[in-house]
Amino acid sequence: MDAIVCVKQIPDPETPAAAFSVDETAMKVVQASGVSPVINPFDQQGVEAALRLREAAGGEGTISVLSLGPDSARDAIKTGLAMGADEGYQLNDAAFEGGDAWTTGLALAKAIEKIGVPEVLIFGRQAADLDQGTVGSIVAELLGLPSATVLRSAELEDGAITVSRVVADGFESITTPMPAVLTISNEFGDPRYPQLRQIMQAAKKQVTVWSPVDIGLDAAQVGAAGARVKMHALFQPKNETQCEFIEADTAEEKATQLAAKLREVKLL
Amino acid sequence: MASAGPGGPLPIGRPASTGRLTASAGPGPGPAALAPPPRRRSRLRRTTKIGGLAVPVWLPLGGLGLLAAAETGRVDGPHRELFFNIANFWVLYALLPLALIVIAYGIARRARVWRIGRADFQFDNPRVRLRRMLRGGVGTERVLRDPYSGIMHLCIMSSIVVLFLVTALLAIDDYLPDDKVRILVGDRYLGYSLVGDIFGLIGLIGVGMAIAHRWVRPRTGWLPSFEDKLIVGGLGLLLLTGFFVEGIRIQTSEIAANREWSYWSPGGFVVAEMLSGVSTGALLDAHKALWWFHMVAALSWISLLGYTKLNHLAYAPANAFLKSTGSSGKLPMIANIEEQEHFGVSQLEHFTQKQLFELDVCVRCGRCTDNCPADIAGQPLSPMHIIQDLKAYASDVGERKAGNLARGAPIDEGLAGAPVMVGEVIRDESLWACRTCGACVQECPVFIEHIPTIVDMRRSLVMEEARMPETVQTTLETLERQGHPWRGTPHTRESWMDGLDVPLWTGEQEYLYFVGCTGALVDRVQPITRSVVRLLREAGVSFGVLAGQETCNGDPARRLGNEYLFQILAEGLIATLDEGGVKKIVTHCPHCFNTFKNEYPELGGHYEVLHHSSLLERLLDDGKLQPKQGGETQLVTFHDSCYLGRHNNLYDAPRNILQQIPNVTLVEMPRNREQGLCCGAGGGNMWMEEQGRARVNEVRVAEALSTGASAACTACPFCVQMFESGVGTVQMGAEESDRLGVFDIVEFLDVAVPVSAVPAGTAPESAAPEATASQDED
Amino acid sequence: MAQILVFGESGADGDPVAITAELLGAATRLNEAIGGDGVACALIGAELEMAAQAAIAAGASTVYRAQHDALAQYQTDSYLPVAAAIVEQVAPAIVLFGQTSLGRDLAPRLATRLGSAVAMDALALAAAGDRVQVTRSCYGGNARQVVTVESDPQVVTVRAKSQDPLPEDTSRTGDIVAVDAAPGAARARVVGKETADTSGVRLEDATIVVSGGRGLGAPEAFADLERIAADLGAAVGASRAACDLGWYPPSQQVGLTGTIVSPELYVAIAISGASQHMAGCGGSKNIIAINKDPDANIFRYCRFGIVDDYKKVLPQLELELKQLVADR
Ligand SMILES: Cc1cc2nc3c(=O)[nH]c(=O)nc-3n(C[C@H](O)[C@H](O)[C@H](O)COP(=O)(O)OP(=O)(O)OC[C@H]3O[C@@H](n4cnc5c(N)ncnc54)[C@H](O)[C@@H]3O)c2cc1C
Ligand code: SF4
Ligand code: SF4
Repeated sequence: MDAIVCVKQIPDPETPAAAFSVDETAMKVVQASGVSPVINPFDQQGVEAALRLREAAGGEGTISVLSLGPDSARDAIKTGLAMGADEGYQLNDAAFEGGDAWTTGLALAKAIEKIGVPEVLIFGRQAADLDQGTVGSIVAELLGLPSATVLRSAELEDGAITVSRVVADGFESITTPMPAVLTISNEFGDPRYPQLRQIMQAAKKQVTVWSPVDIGLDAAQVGAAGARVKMHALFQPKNETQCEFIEADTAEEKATQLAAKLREVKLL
Repeated sequence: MASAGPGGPLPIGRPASTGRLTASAGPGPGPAALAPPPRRRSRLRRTTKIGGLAVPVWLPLGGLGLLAAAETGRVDGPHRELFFNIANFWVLYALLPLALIVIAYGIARRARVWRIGRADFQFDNPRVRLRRMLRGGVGTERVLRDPYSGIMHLCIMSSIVVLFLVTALLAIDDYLPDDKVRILVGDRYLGYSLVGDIFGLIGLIGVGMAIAHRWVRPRTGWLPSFEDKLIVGGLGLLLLTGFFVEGIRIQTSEIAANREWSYWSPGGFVVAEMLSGVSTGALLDAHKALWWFHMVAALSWISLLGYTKLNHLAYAPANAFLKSTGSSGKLPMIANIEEQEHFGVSQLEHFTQKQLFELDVCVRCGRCTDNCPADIAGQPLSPMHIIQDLKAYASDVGERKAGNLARGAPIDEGLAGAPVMVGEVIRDESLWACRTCGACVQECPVFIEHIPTIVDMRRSLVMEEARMPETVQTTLETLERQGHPWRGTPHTRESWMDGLDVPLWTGEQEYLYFVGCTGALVDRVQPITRSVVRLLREAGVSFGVLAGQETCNGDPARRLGNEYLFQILAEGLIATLDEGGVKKIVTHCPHCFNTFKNEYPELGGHYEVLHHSSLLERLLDDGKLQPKQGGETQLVTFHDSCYLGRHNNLYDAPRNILQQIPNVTLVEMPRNREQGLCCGAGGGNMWMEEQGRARVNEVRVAEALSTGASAACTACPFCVQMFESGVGTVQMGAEESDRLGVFDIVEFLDVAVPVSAVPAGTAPESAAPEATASQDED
Repeated sequence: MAQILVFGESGADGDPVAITAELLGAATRLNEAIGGDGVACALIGAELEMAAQAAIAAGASTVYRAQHDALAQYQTDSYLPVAAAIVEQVAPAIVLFGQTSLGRDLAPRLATRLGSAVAMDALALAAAGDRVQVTRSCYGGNARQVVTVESDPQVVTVRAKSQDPLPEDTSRTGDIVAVDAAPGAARARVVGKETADTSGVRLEDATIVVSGGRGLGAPEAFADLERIAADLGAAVGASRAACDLGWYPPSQQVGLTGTIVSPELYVAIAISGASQHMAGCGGSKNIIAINKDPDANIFRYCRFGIVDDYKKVLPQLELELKQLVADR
C-alpha cells in the first residue's frame, strides 16, 4: 500500500497562551523563545495513520511525506521520516510564500500527480495554526478523488477502505474505493515516538525539493500571487485574565447567574 | 504503544488502553485501606549452581578424603606435631592444588560470561579506589553500618582470616629446620594456641548469630538461599570439627603431660575434658577420621569460592576498586552516540564487563532493597532482584552466549526462544519505578552500582524501542519542542519576574542564577525563585538571570533514558552559557546543580557550580544576611534531596541555614542525611504515575509528621511539590492550621531576613510561608 | 448585486435545526449591509417540508429544495453535484454554510469546484464593499484573523451559536423551488452510524469537561457530575487526589501525569488547582470553578468563579444548564 501524507510545519500549538504573541503589522505570529516550530499534530497523526495502514496491509509499500513550506519545514518532513515514512518531498520556493489554502492545495495536487497518485492520500483534519481544515478537500476535488474527512479510524478491506468519521452526534462508517483522500482527527490515537535509530536515519535521508516550475505551475499561480483569500488583520483577542467572581446572596442565585453568564458569552 | 496488533481484520485506530502504566482501574479503597502490594517475587527461575558444584568438587575431594582416611588407618609410626596421629599427610598437599583448580574453574566459567560484555574499565583516581578497596572492601566499612550483621560478619570474617593465617603459619613452621628458628615454640606457641582458639570461638559466635539472624531479625529484603546454609553451616561444621580434632589431640597427648599447656587452648580443652572417659585407642581412630574429614571439608568449603557468594571474599574488594569514583549522581555518558550500533542495554553483551561482574558480586543481603523508596512504598522495583534476575539470566542465556562466542558461532545462535531481558526478565515498570536516588548504591556492601545498570536498560526502552509510559513520552516531546519538561504550563520563563526587578545576565556579573524550568514554570516554585532573587539582592550579590534565553539543561531527558536528547539540550545550553561568558552558576534546584557540576564537564561545560544553600550559608556567615527574631518558635524538619545529599554530599549547608533562623528549631526525621528517603520525584518520576501500594511522597510525609514538626523544609523544587501533594493526602480532612507546612529553606530565610533599604524597583517580596501555605490546601 | 445563498440543514426526520436560522439571520443582515438581492436558502435531503417552512419563517425569501431519497444522508459525492447545481442556478455572490460536519466537509470542495475559495469557521461577518469580512479564530483560539475571499462566489462557513437568528415569523412568505438535480454517484458509501453516548466522549476530545476533586468529599458526588456532563455532552474528569481515593477511575485523571485536555470549557468543581493539575487543563479556552476557598489557585486561571460550597451550588446549576441546553 502506497501513501502520501501531506504535512505542515506550524508554531507549537502547545505554546502557553502567555508566551503567544502576534506582530499585528506583519500579521505574523512571533515565535516564542525556546519554542521550536513543530509538525502539525494532526498531520503527525496522519503519518501514524499511514504507518498503521501499511503495517496492517502487510508492511509493503512506500509512504511519502510531502510539505509545502520554507527551509525549516524540512524538520516536519524529517519527523515523518523518523516515524517510519520512506520518502520526503518539499515544495520550497520564494514564490510559494504568502499563499492560501487554495494555492497550497493546488501545488500539493500537482506534486502528488508528479509523485504518482497513491492508494491513500492523507492529511490532518486541520492545521493547528489557521485551523481551517480545507486543504485535504481541495486536493481531493482537484484530483477528482473521493474524500472522507475527520476520521478516527481506517481499515483496509478488499481493495476498499472503511473509515469511521467523527460527526456531531457520533460516528459514521464510510467505505470508499481507493485512491481516496483521508483527513485524520485526533481521535485516531497518539503518534508513535520514533526510535533513535530512525531519527538518525531520517536525518541522513535526502528530501526532494521542488519549485513551482518543477510541478508544472507558474509563479503567478502560487503563493501570494495566486491566493484567493486575503488576510486583513491578525490580532490577539483581549484576554479576560482576571477571574470574574459571581457574587450573589445565595448559592442558588450564584448558579443562576453563572448560567446566565455562560449564555451571554456564548459558551453554552 | 501505537502500533496495531498483528493479524486480524486490520483494525486501525486507537488501542483500547490509555497506555498509562497505572492499571488499577475502578474505584478502590481509600489510602487508609490500601491494597496489599503486588507480589513481585515471582521472578525468573533462580539458577544457583550448587547442583553443578557437586560434581566437580564434592565427589573427587570426598573420594580422595575417604581413601586417605583408610590409608592412614594402617600406619602407626612416629609422627610430627603438625600431623599428629596422621600418616600419608601428603594426600593433603595433593588436595590443595586440586581445590585451587576447582576454584579457578568456577571463576573461569563465570569470567567467560563477563567477557561477553564491553571492556570498559575505569582506573582513574587509583588512590581513591585503593582507599575504598581497603576501607570498604577489606575493612567492611559498609557492612558495619548495621550493627548486628556488621558484628556477625566481622566475627565470621576475622575468624576465617585468622584461622587461615594460623593454619598457614603452622604449616610453614613445621618445615623450619630446628627449634631455634621455629616460631611456634614455648610461650609463642601458647599464645598462638590461644589466638587460634579464640578466633575459632569468635567464628562460632558469628555462625550462631548468622543462624539466629534468620529468626531473630531477618532483613526484609534479604533473599535467603541454600548457598547461605551451605556456607554458614559448612563453616560451623568446620569450626566444630576443628575443636574436636584439637580436643582429642589434647586429651590423648597433652592433658596428662602438660596440663597447663592445654589451658591455652580453651576450646580444645573443654572438648578434651568432655572426652576424658573415652579410651585412647578409640579416640585416636576417631581423630584420624575427623582430621581427614575436617581437612577435606575445609578445602571443599574454600572451593565454594568459585561457585557461591562466598566469592565476595575476593570480589567485594575487587568491586570496591572497580566502582566509579565520581558522584553517584553522574550517569555514564554514551560517547559518539551517533555512531553507536545500539543505544543503552537490551542484551547482556551491551553491558560493560564490570556490570556483568557485579552480578556475581551481589551477596543478596537485601540492603539495597531495604533502602529503596520504591520498594518501601510497595512498588514493583527491588534493586536486589534486578541484580539477581540479571544474574540468573546471565547464568543461563549468558553462558550460552559465551559458549557461542567460544565456538565462533553467532552470539544469539540457538537463543531464539530465550526470555527477553528487558521486558520479560526485567519488567518495564521496575525500570520506570527507579528514582535514581542512590540509596541502593550507597548501601550496597559490595559496591554494586545499580543506577547505571537500570538507566542503561531504560535507555534501550526509550531510544531503541521507543516504549515508555505515555506521560514520559509527552515529557520528552515537550523537552524537544519547548525546551522544558512542563507540558501544559501556563507560564513563560519570564512570568515569575512580574513586578520584581530581576537583573538580566549581562556577562559582567559574578554569578549566573540558573532559575531552571521548574523554578520558572511551576506555580508553587515561582515564589521560591522570587525569594532567592530577593535575598541575593538583599545581600548585594552580583548576579543575573538568563530569563527567556534559558533552556533545560537536559537532566530529565537523561534520567528518563533519552541520552541523545540530553546531549543535544546540554550542548545547546553550554553554547549559550559560554557565549554569555558564564563562569559561576548558582542554582536552587539540586538536579540542575548535579547536572552542571557532575555531568557537564564531560561535555565540555566547566563552571563553578553552587547550590543556593551553600551560597546563602556563606552570606549568613559573612553577615550579609541577618535573620531577625520573628514570630513563635517553630519545630521544623529538614528533608534531604537525593541530588543534594546522597549524590553531592551537601547535608550541612541547608541545616546550618535553618539553624541560623532564630525562631526555628530543627528536628530530624528517623531517616535523615545519608539515610534519608527520596521524596519520590527523582529519576523522572515527577512525570510518571506510580504503581503499587503507596506513593513514596506519602510515606515520606508521614515520616515528617512523626517528628511533630509543623513545617517540612527542603532545598529542592521537586521535593516541595511532592511534599505538598503528599500532605494533601496524608492529612486529608485536617484543619489547615494542623497541616504540615512545606517550604524551601529560602522561603523561610526570606521571611526571617527583614527588607532593608531595598535597591530601587525591587518590590518587597515576602513569600511568607503562611501565604504560600494555602497553595495546595483545603 | 446578487443574492446570498445559505445552505441550511435539516434534522434526521426532516425537522429544522438551529444553524439554518442562525445563518439566515446573518445572511439577512449582510444582505442589508451589502445591498444584495435577498436571501435564499438551499436545502438538500430526503424529507424537507418542515425545514423549508422553517427557513422561510427564519428569513429566506426563496428556498431551493433538492429532495431525493438518495440524499437522506449526507455524503460528499452525492451532495456535491447537487449543491453545485443549485449555486449555478442561483448564481449568488455569497454562499454561507454552518461550520458543521456537513459544512466542514462540503464547503471547501464546493468552493474548489466553483473555482473559488472558502473562509472557514467565521465568528463574525461584516460587509466591506462587496466583500464579506470574516473574523475567525485561529492558533487554537489565541488569535483572530480577518479575511476576505477575493474570488467569487465567496464561500464562508459560520460557527454555530455565533450568529443570532431573526425572530421567528411564521407569517413570512417565500417561494419553494424544487431543484431537479440528480444526486452524484456515490463512490463512498455510508455503511453504518453509531451514536456516541456521552460517556463515550474521550476526555482529550471533549469540548466540555466537568471535573471533580478531593473537595467533593465522597465518590457519590461524581454521579452528579456525570449527570451534568451527560446533559452537556461533556466528559467527566477528576483530579489525581480524587482518583487516588478511588472515587473515579485513573483513566479520567486530568493533569501532568494524567490526560491533558484543552476543551472550550473546563468546569472544575472542588479542585484546588495544583500546578500538576493545571498542567492538564491550563490550555482550556475557558475555565470555570466552584470552590469554597476564595484563595484557591484554580481561580488564577478562571474566567468565572463561584466561591461557595459546591453542594449548594450544584443542584441549581444542574437545572439551569439543563434549561440552557434545552433552549439551544
Ligand atoms: C509528581 C506529581 C504528579 C501529579 N500529577 C497530577 C495530575 O496529573 N493530576 C492532578 O490532578 N494532580 C496531580 N498531582 C497532585 C496535585 O499536586 C494535587 O495534590 C492534586 O491535584 C490535588 O487534588 P484536588 O485539587 O482534588 O485536592 P485538594 O488540593 O485537596 O483540593 C480540594 C479543593 O476542594 C475545595 N473544597 C473542599 N470542600 C469543598 C466544598 N464543599 N465545596 C467547594 N469546594 C470545596 C478546597 O477548597 C480545595 O481547594 C501530582 C502531584 C505530583 C507530586
Ligand atoms: S536508585 Fe533508589 S529508587 Fe532506584 S533502585 Fe536504587 S534505591 Fe531504588
Ligand atoms: S546489590 Fe548489594 S546491597 Fe543489594 S543485595 Fe546485592 S549485595 Fe546486597
